[in-house]
Amino acid sequence: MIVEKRVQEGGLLKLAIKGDLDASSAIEMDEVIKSALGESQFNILVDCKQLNYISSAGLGVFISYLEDFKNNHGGFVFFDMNENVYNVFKLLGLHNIFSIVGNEGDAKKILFNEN
Amino acid sequence: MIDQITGRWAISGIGIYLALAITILFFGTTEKWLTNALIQLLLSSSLICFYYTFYKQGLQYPDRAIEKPFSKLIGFILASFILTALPELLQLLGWVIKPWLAKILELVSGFSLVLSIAFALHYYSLLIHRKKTIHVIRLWNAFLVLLGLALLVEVIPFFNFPFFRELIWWSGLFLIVPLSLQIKWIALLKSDEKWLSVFYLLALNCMFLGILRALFSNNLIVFGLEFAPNNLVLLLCLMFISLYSIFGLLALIFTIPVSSVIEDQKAEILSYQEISDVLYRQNTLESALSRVFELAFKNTQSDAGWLMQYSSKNGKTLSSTSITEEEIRQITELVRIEELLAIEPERGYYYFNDLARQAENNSGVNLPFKSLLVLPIYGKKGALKATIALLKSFISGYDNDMISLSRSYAEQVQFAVEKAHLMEQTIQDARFKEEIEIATKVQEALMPANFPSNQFCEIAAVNITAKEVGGDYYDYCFIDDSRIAVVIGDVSGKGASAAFHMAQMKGIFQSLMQLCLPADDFLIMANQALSKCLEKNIFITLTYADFNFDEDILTYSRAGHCPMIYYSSRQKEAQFMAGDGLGLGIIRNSSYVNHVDTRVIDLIRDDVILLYTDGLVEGRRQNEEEYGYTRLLNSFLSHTEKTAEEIKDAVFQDFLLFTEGSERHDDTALMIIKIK
Repeated sequence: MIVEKRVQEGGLLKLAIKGDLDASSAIEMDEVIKSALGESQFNILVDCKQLNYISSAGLGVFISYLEDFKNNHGGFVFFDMNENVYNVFKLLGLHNIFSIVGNEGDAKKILFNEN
Repeated sequence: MIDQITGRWAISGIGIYLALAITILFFGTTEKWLTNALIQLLLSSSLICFYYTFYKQGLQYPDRAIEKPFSKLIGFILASFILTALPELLQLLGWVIKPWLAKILELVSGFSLVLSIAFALHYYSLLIHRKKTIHVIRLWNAFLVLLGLALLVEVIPFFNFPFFRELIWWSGLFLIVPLSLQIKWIALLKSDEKWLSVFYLLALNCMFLGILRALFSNNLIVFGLEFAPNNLVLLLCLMFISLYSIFGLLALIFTIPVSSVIEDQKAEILSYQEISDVLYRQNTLESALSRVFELAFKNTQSDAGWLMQYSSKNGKTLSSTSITEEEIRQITELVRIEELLAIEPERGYYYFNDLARQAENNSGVNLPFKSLLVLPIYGKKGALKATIALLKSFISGYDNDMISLSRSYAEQVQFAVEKAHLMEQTIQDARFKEEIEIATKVQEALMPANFPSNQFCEIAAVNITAKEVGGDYYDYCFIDDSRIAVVIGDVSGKGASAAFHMAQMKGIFQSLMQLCLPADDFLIMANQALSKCLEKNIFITLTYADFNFDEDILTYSRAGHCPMIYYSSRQKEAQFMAGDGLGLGIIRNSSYVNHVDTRVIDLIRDDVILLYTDGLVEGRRQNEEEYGYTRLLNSFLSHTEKTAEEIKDAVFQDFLLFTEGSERHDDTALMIIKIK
């Protein structure tokens, strides 16, 4: 798995995940999010276009920061998610908790509206 | 080597021997006063001196096979000498011996002389055959055949032609020279053994002088046969014995000065053996280090040295020889060993061949030592364990051989340390494995192995884990006589952490069951309980099924878990049961209530429910194809007429066949409930 980290205009952080997010890459993902928190980045766009697979441990990373982001009035917005990955989110009921949208433009809109 | 008293005996023996040899060589038989008797007696006394030397030494010749014939040989020589001297001695004293007695004495002494020659031959043949080759054996056999021919020529006048005699004599010489060079036994002797051997050979030479004397003064007569001075057998034997003795003596005398080198080499070889022995036996690293230090000290002939043990950077002198603690400190500071060790930790040794110059340049300390060799010994992960320092009082005291020898000692210890570490690791691994095995058994005990038969339904279940322990969980509980709660869950992640959380889930399920809760309340309370004990990134998906056989209804709720399959015996159809729901432990506050979705199904006889975990649908074939929902559904549908146990076996078998040969990535569980 590779995570690309890029700060967008307006102070948004975009994480583009490529490959599989499983138990072994979850540790790396955790580091990335932890450092974003450290830099007070509470609004995170997650580009899932190239995310092939996500395991329960991978989901655990996002879940573990759920409250931290909520407390800071921020959160994750996932976009461009493929069907397999979306089904995993849906199975667990996470589609009701995380914002999952079709494209980057919609994702930004959600974040700006929240702010 | 030889102590003082025996030394005196040896020296007097050599003195008498040399004096006699010189007199005989120069005056021979021409001088009247040099009577046979005198010569023989003096030769005997020198022989006794030599013998006494060996006797005093305890005859510690390493080779018992040679020692025995040698003692006999000396006995025969002495007897013959005394017997030949006796008639003349008696004459000198004015006693007249009767001719028949003189004849007998002559006969006996001649016989014992011949015997001693035979023994000498045997003795030398033993020496020649040390480290023998086929070549040597052939040479020796040829020599013996030649001696037999010589005897034939002497005894039977028919063969006694001058041509034969010449032929035998020259071929004899041709054999004797290479045989006399077979002195390999000398190389293996220690220096004191070499000294002893010198006396052995001198004593034998004594004998030849005596025999030569006897031969040239009057002919020997043995069993009526007269041995003339030109007797071929005697001449060949004496030629061989004297040539061999001379070569042997020369080789011995010339190798005595270098024998210490060979001894050192031997000691080195033995010290290797000792080191491996020490490292094998010594219980502590300290004692092993001390012993290795002693060996390195001894085998490099060092003048002083010390052994320092390190534990977390601090050195402690474990032992030192001929050096004070203050000097150690001075030298350590002078060459800055500790800094060097830190800068270049991979080096096997540090050698300073001129300490005095460094001392002058630095602090002007006057040290009695000029050469220093430091050998570091590293433990696991390259941590410095100890240093051995060796010192000599002259410059360039250590040559390459000594350095590599000491290095190899240090390496031996290092290997032993590493081996011990590895051993420890292996034991620890074995212990971990044992613990894991226990964990596996404990977890197996957490899952119900058998489900009680009852009048309402049949239950059957199976599970396998990807690792030794897993995070899948299923269980059941009778809420009352006609209500059974069944649960199946999956902890995120796998392995040991998942197993611990699974155990917590079981605790929560079994406790909450005591409260006879409806499905939604159960999930809300379970979420609340788990929120307090799960790590932040861990969640549990769960399907809770409450079978009420009074009303023949199933109330279920899906907390993010894979949707169960319901087979309706009325419609002969199976389908995945929809319903929203969120995994436990994801939202850890009261808003979880909003995510609980409870549904109800009417049950009739022969309806079948299949509960499973995601490992079942995500199981992959080698070509990465997933088992999938459709395959599961079809497989299940084709077996619904069977008993719960049979359905479980058939569906699981189908799954195993599909995933055969590929590595299992996730825990897998499967549960069948068939309504009676």
